[in-house]
Amino acid sequence: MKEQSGKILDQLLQHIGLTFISLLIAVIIGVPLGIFIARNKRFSAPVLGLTGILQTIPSIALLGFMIPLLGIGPVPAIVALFLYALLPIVRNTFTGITGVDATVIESARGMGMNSGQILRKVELPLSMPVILAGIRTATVINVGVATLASYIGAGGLGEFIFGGIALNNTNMILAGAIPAALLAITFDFILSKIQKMDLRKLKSGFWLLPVCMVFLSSFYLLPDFYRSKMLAGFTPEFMGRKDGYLGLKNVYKLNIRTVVISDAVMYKAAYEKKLDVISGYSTDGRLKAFNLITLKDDKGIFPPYYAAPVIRKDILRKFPELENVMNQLAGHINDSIMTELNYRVDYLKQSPEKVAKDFLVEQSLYKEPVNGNEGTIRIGSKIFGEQYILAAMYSMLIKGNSGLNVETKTGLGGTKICFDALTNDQIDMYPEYTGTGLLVILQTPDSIVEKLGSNEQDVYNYVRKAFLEKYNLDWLKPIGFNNAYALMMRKSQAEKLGIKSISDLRNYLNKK
Amino acid sequence: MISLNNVVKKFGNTIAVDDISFNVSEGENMVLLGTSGCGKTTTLRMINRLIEASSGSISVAGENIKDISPEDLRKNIGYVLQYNGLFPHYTIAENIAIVPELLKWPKQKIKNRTLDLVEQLHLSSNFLSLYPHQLSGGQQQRVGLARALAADPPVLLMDEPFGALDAITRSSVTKEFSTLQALKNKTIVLVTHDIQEAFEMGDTILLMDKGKIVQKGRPVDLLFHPQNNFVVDFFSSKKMQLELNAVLLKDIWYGLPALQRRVLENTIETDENKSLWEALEILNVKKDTSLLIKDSSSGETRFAGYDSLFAGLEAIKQFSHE
Repeated sequence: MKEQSGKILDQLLQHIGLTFISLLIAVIIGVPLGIFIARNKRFSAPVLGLTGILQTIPSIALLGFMIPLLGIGPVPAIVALFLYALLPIVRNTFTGITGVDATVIESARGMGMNSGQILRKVELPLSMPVILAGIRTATVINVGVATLASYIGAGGLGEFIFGGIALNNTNMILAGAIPAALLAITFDFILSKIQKMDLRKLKSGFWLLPVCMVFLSSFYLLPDFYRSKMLAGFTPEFMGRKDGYLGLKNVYKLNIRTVVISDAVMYKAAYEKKLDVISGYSTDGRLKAFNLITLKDDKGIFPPYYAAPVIRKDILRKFPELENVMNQLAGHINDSIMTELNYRVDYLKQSPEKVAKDFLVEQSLYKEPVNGNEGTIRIGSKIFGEQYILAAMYSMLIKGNSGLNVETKTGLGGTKICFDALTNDQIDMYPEYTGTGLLVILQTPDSIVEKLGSNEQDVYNYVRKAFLEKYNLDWLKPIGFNNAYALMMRKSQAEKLGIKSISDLRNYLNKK
Repeated sequence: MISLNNVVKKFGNTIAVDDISFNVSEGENMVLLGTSGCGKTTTLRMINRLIEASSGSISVAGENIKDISPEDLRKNIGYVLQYNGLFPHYTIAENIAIVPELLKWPKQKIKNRTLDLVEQLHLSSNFLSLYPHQLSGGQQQRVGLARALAADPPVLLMDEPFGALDAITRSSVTKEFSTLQALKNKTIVLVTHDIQEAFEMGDTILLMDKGKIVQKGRPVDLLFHPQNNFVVDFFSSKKMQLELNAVLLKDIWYGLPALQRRVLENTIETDENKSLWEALEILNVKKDTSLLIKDSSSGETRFAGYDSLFAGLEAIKQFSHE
């Protein structure tokens, strides 16, 4: 809990920093732009239109657009936030200035003031309340959108929010959401006070506002002060799991600076040297695509995740031939083969069905569909390539070796959804992993988990027995590969530093 | 002092000001009079280059206004608007100080000048730290005038300066205006559509219509020697009031009796420069009063009552038709 409170402070400071850096840039560019279109009205429609369109782009999409251009981290986040803050600032500056009483402007001209003097002495002071309202709006928007910055590894309170969502931990979500909301309310309040201040007195204290903004922007750098040599990027789910980041800290005593980042971007980020270490799955095709290697889990904190189909016992009883058909696949796929198959789907963009068929053909397991009508087997799968491939393989095996028909219900989002579908008789089987069964589904107590250790057979036997007893579900023979959590690094960097295992990594980091 | 030669202003295809020429002598009060759209305001605003003339030339104090920057020109010309245009975020003192500060006057000089003007325009010095919205309409207009006079410009341009005031305030302010010391030596060009106002404030009237000058002259000239039907029609409403305002006691001097008709209780003394209207107002104060008019230069005296005043007016009118 103590370490978490330190984390909250980090995230809070990063959040404030992100919000204000982008706000500062938006004001520096937006206010002059607003003045420009107020003077040259023919540009007002296109400029306001463009900034308006920027606002309508969903924030996540905008962040996504930034990645190929600017990579990950604070820079794309700040650029996206800046674009978002532009509309309220530009529009309000424009509205404020064009709204200044025309008679006052005319009298100022008539007295001999030039444009610059009119701007400084008349237009800006009189439009200041409206401009400040725009800055206020932009601030509140930015505090909100900045929660998404963690999606691309820029830090901020979003880390807790997304982590909490991934781990179904409400406290964690609130730990991120409540400070963010408070931040928005506080800044809005402070700015409303400034807005109401007598603008006459504001004349002298005016420099205070930019100074404050620069000061708050610098907050972003504070957490950097205790940098470590390397930067790790972990998914929100990994951060909160005992067999994830927490295990790294407790068992390996690994001390590395982490950013939370989404699975979608992290591999590329490691490839592009924006991250040095990432979490991932040991059969992920992107390992091959981005030239990464997995580090050996020498202390065994990642339990085995042997893949095997989990199937309803009553279906096995109904169609006993199924067991032999499905076990045909057992032992045919090892880690590197699965990685290669995943690579074809994730990176070469081949369809899972094609990859499955090609493999079965190559292994002489493929048979043309019998097209029987003796019954239908419903196969489920989770939402990633490997699952789609396995589901397709099983589907083809069943159709080719029996008179049964197959219906696939793929893309069920997450372990819980898949498992619930199975127990509720909405699907008959899906490919699961022993480690997931042990930790996530059975929620086995620590003492038993430790006893089982990383012995694959022990874990398999345990989960098989427990599933039969509790859920009337059976585990068929393991397919042959272990899709466990792993830490990964760029092959070139790992070889250069002589890092082969997680302990090696820790030793390297602790060296002064 | 101010000279316009063949000035034309076109907005697109519309001719707003159609080849006008006139001069304003130093110290003269000229009123541009006409209905909406006649081009009077456009003409005024060409003098300080808020609008640039399409063709023709304008000079102020002998210098062509195009030869100096508009900003420098305007700092030397006072400009009063209908809705005063006071800076809402400046105090009264700061408002008045605007042009002197643009001219970089020393602070003490500005302060003294401000206090001086405030007194001359009958404003309380307590107002100096207040903001415009805290003053009444009439007070705001005085501040607008003070602001225009702050740097002591030789020329003053006024665009319907009393148009936004209510009728009661307007009549008292207009009266006061003609007596203000601060305006005595200024060359003033004033735009209005109000005939009454024009007659009270102007030495010379420039009657305009559709961008052209219809007639130029003193109020009495326009009333009694109209050049065309337009002029006749323009002054046809409230004609009697206008005539009484335009004709001064000195204009009917020789028709007035040198001796009192009856020995009455009340005689009020006045001078020959009052208008017949003012004379009637004085007579109206008490019953059975007559006026003793003393010529300020020659010292001669005449008497006047209601009858003699109207008789004098009739004589003037008859004379003008011959």
